[in-house]
Amino acid sequence: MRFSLLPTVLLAGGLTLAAPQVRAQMSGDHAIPAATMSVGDLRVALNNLLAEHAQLGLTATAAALGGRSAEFKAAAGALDANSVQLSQAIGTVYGDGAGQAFLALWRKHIGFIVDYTTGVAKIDQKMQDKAVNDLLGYTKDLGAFLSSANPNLPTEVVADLVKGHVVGFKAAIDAQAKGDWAAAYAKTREAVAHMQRIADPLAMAIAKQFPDKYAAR
Amino acid sequence: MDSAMRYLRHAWLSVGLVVAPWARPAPEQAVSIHLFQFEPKAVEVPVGTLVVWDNGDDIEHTVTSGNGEQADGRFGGTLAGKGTRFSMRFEEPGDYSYFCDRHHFMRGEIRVTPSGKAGN
Repeated sequence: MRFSLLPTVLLAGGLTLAAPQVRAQMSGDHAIPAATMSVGDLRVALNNLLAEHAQLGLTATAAALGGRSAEFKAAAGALDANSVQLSQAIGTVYGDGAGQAFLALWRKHIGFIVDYTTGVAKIDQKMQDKAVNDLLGYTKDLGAFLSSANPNLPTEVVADLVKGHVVGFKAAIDAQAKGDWAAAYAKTREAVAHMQRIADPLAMAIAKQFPDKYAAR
Repeated sequence: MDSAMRYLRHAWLSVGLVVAPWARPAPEQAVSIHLFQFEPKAVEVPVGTLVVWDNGDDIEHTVTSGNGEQADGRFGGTLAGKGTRFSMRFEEPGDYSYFCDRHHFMRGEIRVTPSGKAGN
């Protein structure tokens, strides 16, 4: 069976699989320095990290659905390194504890994407529905987290933006599963582009909250 | 008049003696929930302390006793959203672990010491 290896592969490539050496290799990319930086640099850094998240995530799901175990493990490892780096960026702004909480929360939604992909691979509608429900619930969690961190980010607004991310991912995964590669790559581009709709307001809200740290230049 | 005053003084002292031990404010310990974290994460309190959790996040959290993987049923409460509270008085010395049942990575510890031995 085409997908017979998938659950094993997905589990093996789960949420904490990023080897330390993978993290180390990634640690210099898109870094957000603690010192004062411009709003523009902050925007670029967050856009890069979030676009990379979408790209690596859909690379991982395509590999998993195609039964390409080694590729999936590598993609999932890179994806987790991206998650760690994103959490470090949050930690730089809001403290290490917040960074760790963000990482756990962020990894949770990747786990739900894994569940959805597994459900698609196994043609298990119940599993797919549960994963979608979990993802929709998660959008409120992430909205609440960012709203607690920054009063310029209303919970519902963030939740809606993250919902767009989740829906876009689902559409791309569905196309990947059907082998409709034209649609899959079109949806992948949309999913990557959508991340700007999260990164830009996030960067602007952070800059507004800490005007001394993120100079308007 | 004199006897009335004596009676009043006697009554006042009696009430004072009875009330005094109860009038002493019970110790309280606040734990805030903010950015999906319990703060402080670990507290040490004397027995009898009322621990009060205050949810600062715009989302439901729980205070559930257990190790983060499984609830042990010793205590628990739900904080439905921002501004909601849950409190629990700890009457027995010991170590109490708890977590949020919606976000298992949120964990906290309470060490309850025999009276007069706590330090935070």
